Amino acid sequence: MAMEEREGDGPRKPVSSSTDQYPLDANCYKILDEIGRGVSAIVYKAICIPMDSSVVAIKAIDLEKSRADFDSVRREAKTMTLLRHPNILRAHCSFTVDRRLWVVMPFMSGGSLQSIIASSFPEGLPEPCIATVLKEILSALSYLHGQGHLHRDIKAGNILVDSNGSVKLADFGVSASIYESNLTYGLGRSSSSSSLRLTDFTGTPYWMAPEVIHSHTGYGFKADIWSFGITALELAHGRPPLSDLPPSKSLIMKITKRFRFSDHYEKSKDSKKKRFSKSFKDMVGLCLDQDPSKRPTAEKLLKHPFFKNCKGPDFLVKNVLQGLPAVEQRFKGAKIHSKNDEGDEDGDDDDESSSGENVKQRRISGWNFNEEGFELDPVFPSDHQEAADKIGKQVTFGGEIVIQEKGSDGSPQGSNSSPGQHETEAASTAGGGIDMGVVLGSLLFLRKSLDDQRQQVAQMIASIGGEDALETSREDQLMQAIEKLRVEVESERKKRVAAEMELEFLKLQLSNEC
Amino acid sequence: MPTAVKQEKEDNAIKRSNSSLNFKKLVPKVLRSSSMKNPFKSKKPRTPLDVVRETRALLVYLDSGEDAANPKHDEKLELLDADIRELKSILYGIDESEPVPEACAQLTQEFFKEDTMRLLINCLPKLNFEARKDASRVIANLQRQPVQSRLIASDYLEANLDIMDQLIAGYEDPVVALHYGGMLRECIRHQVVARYVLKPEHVKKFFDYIQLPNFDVASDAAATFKELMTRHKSTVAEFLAENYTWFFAEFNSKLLESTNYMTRRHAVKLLGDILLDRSNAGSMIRYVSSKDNMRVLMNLLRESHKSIQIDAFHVFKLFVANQNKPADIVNILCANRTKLLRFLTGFNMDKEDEMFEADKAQVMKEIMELEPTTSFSCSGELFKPISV
Repeated sequence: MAMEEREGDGPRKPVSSSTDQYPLDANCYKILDEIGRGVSAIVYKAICIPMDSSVVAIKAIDLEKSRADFDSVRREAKTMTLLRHPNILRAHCSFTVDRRLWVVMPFMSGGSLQSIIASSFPEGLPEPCIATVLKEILSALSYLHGQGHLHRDIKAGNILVDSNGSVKLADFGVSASIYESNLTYGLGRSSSSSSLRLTDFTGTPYWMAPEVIHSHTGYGFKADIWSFGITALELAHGRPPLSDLPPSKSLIMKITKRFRFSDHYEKSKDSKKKRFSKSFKDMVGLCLDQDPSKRPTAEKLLKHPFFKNCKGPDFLVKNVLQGLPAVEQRFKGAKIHSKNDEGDEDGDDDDESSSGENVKQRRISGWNFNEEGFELDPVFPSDHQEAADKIGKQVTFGGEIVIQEKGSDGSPQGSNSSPGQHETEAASTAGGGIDMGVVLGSLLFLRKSLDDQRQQVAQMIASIGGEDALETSREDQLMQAIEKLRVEVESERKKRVAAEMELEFLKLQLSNEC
Repeated sequence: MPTAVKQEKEDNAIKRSNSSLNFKKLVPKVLRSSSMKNPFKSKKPRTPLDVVRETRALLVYLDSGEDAANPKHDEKLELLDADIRELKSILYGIDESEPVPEACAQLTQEFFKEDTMRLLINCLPKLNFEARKDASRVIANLQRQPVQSRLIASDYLEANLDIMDQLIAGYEDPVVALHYGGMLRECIRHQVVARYVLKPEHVKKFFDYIQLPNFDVASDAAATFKELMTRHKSTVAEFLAENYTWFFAEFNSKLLESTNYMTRRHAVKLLGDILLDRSNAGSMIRYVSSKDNMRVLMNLLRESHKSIQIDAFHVFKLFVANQNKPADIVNILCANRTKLLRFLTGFNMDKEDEMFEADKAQVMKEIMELEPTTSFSCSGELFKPISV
């Protein structure tokens, strides 16, 4: 392809390659609907006119918002071009449209498992469906790891289902390759580049756990296995262990929802425990081993009894996809939320009427658009540092184990006791296996990142207030003031919990030494 | 690809759940791991030399253009896949086991003893999809393998520089572009190769490649171009000195003034990297003494895209900081003094950045203290009001 061809209006001719048939020209596509939105990307449903108007999904990544590290965008594009597996979503092509990168992909009409669960399975999927889906994902992971790639963002939101029941792993925005020049450097760079997806605010202090810096390939692969285990829980319960609160206008509402959620979780816990088979629990338990080296590889995990007798795609069509609202509809239900997350320009409020169904969707989507991990942990709802996230997950997992396998220690989850306390106790029981230095480091980091986040929230609120100033009524202004205070309270609370936890660990350490 | 080490670890991990594994422990692991995917391979362990030799023999066959209808063709292709995969495993280690330096050295020596690299590059489009990636990684890795503390890859390439022509041209073919591009980036780590690629006829091609519509190819070319223009300081300085006029003229018109956001963004960042490098001081002085160049940078400062503005500032500051500013530059700066100062006052990073603030303060001070040198010079309104 020579430069001159760029000027052509028509579809570009395929250049001796079967993969590049899709035209590299925005004019050849017609956007139908928005079906997803993240911090720096919007996903559209579109048709490709010269390709018999076939339906595609277009992920439009704002390159200006991924300011810090361009290289990661390049690597993501390369990864998607060079991976071929039935369970991995490929890109047809990618090209820039002004400051946006368009990645043209097959349209997966079922949407993400996260949105399917939110709309039709708030209590989680039936176990045979979980097994079927997870087996496909494991097969993708096994291939990915064999290729030296880490996905690093395994979650229900990144598992897509097509109308025929096929399951694909998507979104390589934070993936890394062990074949990049030098391993440590590669990991370090691409981790810091997670700013591409995780936050708008580039240059936030980056911090990495010592074991990530000093490890070789084993660590990373096993981190994916951990996330796979969390995803299994997410599919089973309808949400990851505990949901997060991103800063947004509907913060007040969501605080109350979350507590109701916790109550709900407590109540239904016993019945849920019985619902799952032993092999399922065993499989998840293996993935969530504190020691990465003890977690099985994807390849090994595929042979686990839980994945024997898995059903085919038709089973998913019948049991999961039937009667599901279209992906566009589902997205619209959750749209307000994402807008608020972004502190976005236009707040068209016609969806704001809180019909019962709407509230439900919004509640569940509390972690939908909140990128990466901390949806698992209300103690540290900082959504923008992956390395800290890993630690967060590990610490939290102590709590999860207690809940899952031994039953809760029964600390009340009333609306004035924070779930964080529960976490603290649970985590301290699991603390024995954790490197204190690492934990302390991560706590210190988290405190810093919470402060940063607080600043960002303040900025965001200021900017929203600034833009809306002419239109907002007095009441709105007061609401904003209240929210601002709420945010501060919330952040203070988090800090307190973090400090408490630190104290717990120190105590534990002390008692261990005695 | 399972290995003994890996399997052992996992066996421990999964023992509680899968008792059938005990049976597997009885079977020699080497047998299991090597017989899985390649039934043709002999069971006796092969040395790195054997693998390289077989690879070469198969490549010679493939390169000879034997027609694909040959019943043995697919079989041979599969053998080749397995061999290349094995080369990769030796060089990178498998999963958690580190590569063995002696094995790597043996492999490297044998590989470069003959023309295997050229053969492999030639045959790459004929390989299976997965094998192409393995081949790219093998070649990339071999560039860094020391044999008796010498990089023999460099010696090989010095004698076979024409291979670079093929790799560079790879950007024109989407099938091989990313593979050849990755190899090329590794190869120009050798100074002798960089010197060869840093020739006008090649560099001009990169101006086009980084504007290709295909994003993954264009951004790969941009990464290679950046490597080429920044890695070997003395070579780059020499190239810039010899090619100053056409290089920067084209750099301005084709890249900095491109209509493509990506191209402008890559280019202005790279320009900063080039000019701010001490070894390129000579070219830098020339560049910042030209009012035409300053006009290009001032236009970039006016962009609505913050990341381009920021990188443009880091070049623009050099024009202002230059202690021997030509009269026409001084006059443009004076004529636009108020607007520039107003712009700079409102020009901030999202995050606090002490370096940036210090630079900005310095630039503003310089501009404030400037005196127009000749009274008759008239600059015109280059710098229109900016809204930030």
